[in-house]
Amino acid sequence: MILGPQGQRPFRSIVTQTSAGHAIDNAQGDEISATELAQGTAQLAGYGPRIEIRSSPNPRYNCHGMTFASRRTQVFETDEIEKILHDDKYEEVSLDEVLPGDVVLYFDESGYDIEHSGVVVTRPTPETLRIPHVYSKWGKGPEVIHPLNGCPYNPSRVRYYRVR
Amino acid sequence: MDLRILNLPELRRIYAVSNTPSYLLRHFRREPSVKELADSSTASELYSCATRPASRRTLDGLTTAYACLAALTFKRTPDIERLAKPDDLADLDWGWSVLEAWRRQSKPTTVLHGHGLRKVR
Repeated sequence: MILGPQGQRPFRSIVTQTSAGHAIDNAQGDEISATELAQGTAQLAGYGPRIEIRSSPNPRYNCHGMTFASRRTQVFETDEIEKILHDDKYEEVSLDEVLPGDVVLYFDESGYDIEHSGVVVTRPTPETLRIPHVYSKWGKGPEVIHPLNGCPYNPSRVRYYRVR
Repeated sequence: MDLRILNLPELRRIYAVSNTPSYLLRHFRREPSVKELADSSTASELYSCATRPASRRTLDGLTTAYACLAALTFKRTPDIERLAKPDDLADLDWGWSVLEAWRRQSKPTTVLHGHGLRKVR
């Protein structure tokens, strides 16, 4: 068993790099309680009929792992996301320009920490009050298709990105 | 210490949607019952509860362990650093990462502001 640098549990990180070859810090998760597995997606019922669940709970990857690492692992740090945005040459797009496939990042109140990420599936239109639908992964739970503001994360500080 | 203080339904909800250790820590610290637990418990009590392996694989067990870790971060830094050892937290996926997030979030940043220095975080 290979332990981490200070004797902590084994690293379960995998080789993941930006397009410029810089390593992306990551860790695969396996912690999910029997209750969470048993409850499955029932806990999301409070978000109403506007959401659609598209996968089972899975602790291996988180939202950033879904958005940027092919569902293989968890990426935690805002610095790592910024590294990806920079190296992969993502550019911010305005709400008016948003298209399906664009990445959406949810920031905390400070505007610095990236709390959540997902992928746009429908463009914002007047009919949807200019609110796009996105799919994203909620914690260790499932991937969910939801209106931008129909989720547990702060929708008032979001930014959209695209690789041009 | 009285763990019945904890608002478990709300903490379970936060835990279930936490994508990162820093999100978990920030939102657990905002939950008043976590602060209440911190105020009514010693650092050692909180740490031993967070590192207790029993019930680790139940949702309430995991939520309570992380709540105790979050409560611990309200304590004095030297007390936390004296207690915290990676081996103790090896059983919690995000145990050590939560403490690392606390170290980052509690690092003071100073910026020049007017005629003096102002702590912004």
